[in-house]
Amino acid sequence: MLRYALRRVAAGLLVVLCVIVLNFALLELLPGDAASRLASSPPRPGELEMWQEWTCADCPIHERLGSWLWNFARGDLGTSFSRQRPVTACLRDALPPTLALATFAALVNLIVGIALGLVSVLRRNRAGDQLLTAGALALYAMPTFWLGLMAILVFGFWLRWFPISSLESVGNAAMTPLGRVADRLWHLALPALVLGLGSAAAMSRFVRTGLLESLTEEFTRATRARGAGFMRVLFNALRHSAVPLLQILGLTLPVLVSGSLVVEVVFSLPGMGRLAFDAIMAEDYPLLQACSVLATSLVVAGSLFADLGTCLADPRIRLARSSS
Amino acid sequence: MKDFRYRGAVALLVPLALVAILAPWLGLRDPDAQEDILVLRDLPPLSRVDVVNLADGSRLYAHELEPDDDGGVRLRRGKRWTEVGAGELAGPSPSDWHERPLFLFGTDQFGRDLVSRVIWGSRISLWVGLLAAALAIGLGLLIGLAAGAAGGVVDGALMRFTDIVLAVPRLFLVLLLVSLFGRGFGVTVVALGVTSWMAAARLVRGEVLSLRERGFVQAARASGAGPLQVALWHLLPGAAPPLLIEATLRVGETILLEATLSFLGLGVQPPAASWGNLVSDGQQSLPDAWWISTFPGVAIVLTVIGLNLLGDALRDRWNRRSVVGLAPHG
Repeated sequence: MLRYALRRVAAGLLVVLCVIVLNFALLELLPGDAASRLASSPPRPGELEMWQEWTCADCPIHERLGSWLWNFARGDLGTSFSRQRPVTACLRDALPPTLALATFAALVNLIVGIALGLVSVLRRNRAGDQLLTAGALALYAMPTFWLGLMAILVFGFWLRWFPISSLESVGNAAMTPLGRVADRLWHLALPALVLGLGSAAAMSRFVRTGLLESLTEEFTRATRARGAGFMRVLFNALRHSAVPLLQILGLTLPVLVSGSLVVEVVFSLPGMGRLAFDAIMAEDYPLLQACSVLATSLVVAGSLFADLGTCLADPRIRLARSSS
Repeated sequence: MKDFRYRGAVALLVPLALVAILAPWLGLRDPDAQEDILVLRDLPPLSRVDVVNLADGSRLYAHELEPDDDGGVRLRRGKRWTEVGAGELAGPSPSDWHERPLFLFGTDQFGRDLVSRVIWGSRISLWVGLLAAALAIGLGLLIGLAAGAAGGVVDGALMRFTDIVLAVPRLFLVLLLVSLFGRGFGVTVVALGVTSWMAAARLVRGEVLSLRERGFVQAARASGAGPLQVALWHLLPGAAPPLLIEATLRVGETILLEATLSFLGLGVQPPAASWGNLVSDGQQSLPDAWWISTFPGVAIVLTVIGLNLLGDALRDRWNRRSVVGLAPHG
């Protein structure tokens, strides 16, 4: 198990390394002088010199690659063109809102996905199931930004249940600590719902298929034969399909990370996605490429946890993977 | 055709394709024309507006119309009333000079007709989706064929590369490309295409690996067919059905991503009316004019539902569970 875990961590690090190299290669592939292509127009004072120093622009290519990797290794991601401060500092400020948003969205995704999947199995092939199937299909086909706008329109403007933008109310600092937390949650509710619901459609389909498969298996008949009640049987089946669900959750992570960019732009939340978007708009390449590496790292870490979780949850997989 | 999914897909996709193809002959208003901002701006869906045709061929839009005593007409534009004499009108009877055209989806903040913008926009969005998906499938086909047919180190290297590209969140990859190579129709197509070949490559490789050991391929090889001939004549046809399913699902996903990109202002550039641009147009006036963002979004949803239904139904029919169907996307 430990060896497997170490191997997976190493593989994950390798992927991140490759993405860093990929970013480097993209820059090298640019037609013409990379630095002048990167500079915003008109160039801000000092940005080119800063970038040239950071990338060691005058060195031969292998030294450039070496210094690029070394910079990442020691945590120096350069200086943001538009914000005139170290990229790492910008990322540090932007990460917490994104992590909070993605965590709540993952919770929404799991809870809604499992609930809808359960309901559609319980009412299989009846009107309720078909309605849910149609709903999941529509939800699945919905672009996140549009779902967000519609949510703002209905729950923000018409019903006035939720705030439509930003992370906290004006005057938040004067509230009690508990009030501040509640205020933040209230602001995060709508974005998290939008982000989570978008991916919950796929989740509910997987739960439905998984449950239907488990319900036809021998152990379900055995549980029934033992005289277990309906809920007990269902719970067993659900537990049995938990392992693939972990995998699906791992697959959903890239969606949540990409989706958080869109949601943060729509709801003006000061997270990482918003940072990446601002970086593009300000032609701030150092910041953007750092965002893409960080986003990749998040996804890699997520799929790592999903894999290790699968291993812990299912002894058969653990054995198979440890021996190979 | 008992499967409801086919019926659903046909019901959604056929009218959509017809309308998109026939757009120039549908008698739509010019999607970019800002005919009269004063009267036409932010009209709700199903509005009708009074139009007065003048003798010199021009048209006057009006908030209100009143007949005059001398056969002319008084019309209100904003707060101002203007008189139009009987001689200036396009004809003697009201049916000659008066129209009340319908704005089915309403208009946007520049007085542009939303129906014609959504329909003309469908041409752009569908084109980007089809071209980018074709590029993705082509790339995937090449890489998958190469990996599956060559095997060994080439296979290993290509598949690791595929894994790595898959690990980067797609939107971020597209954003990187767009920020480096500029914006516009061409860049959008290429950026979307080169970031979505991975599933197709894996698929083709899998099919090729399973076909390679089959009797007819070995027979072809034994009778002297070269690797290229084997790949083109014997492996490619076998990989066609799953690729077609993958292509169907990919077009839908690409349309979603293009819309996202255009919504962010990084895809197809205005004034070209792609669906993403239209939703973005309406964002500013969302509380006052909900319809501007709503209708293009509905068009996206219906299109993608149609494509997903089709792909899903084809997958079951050809029994290709290997194609990952409605997986999470982003």
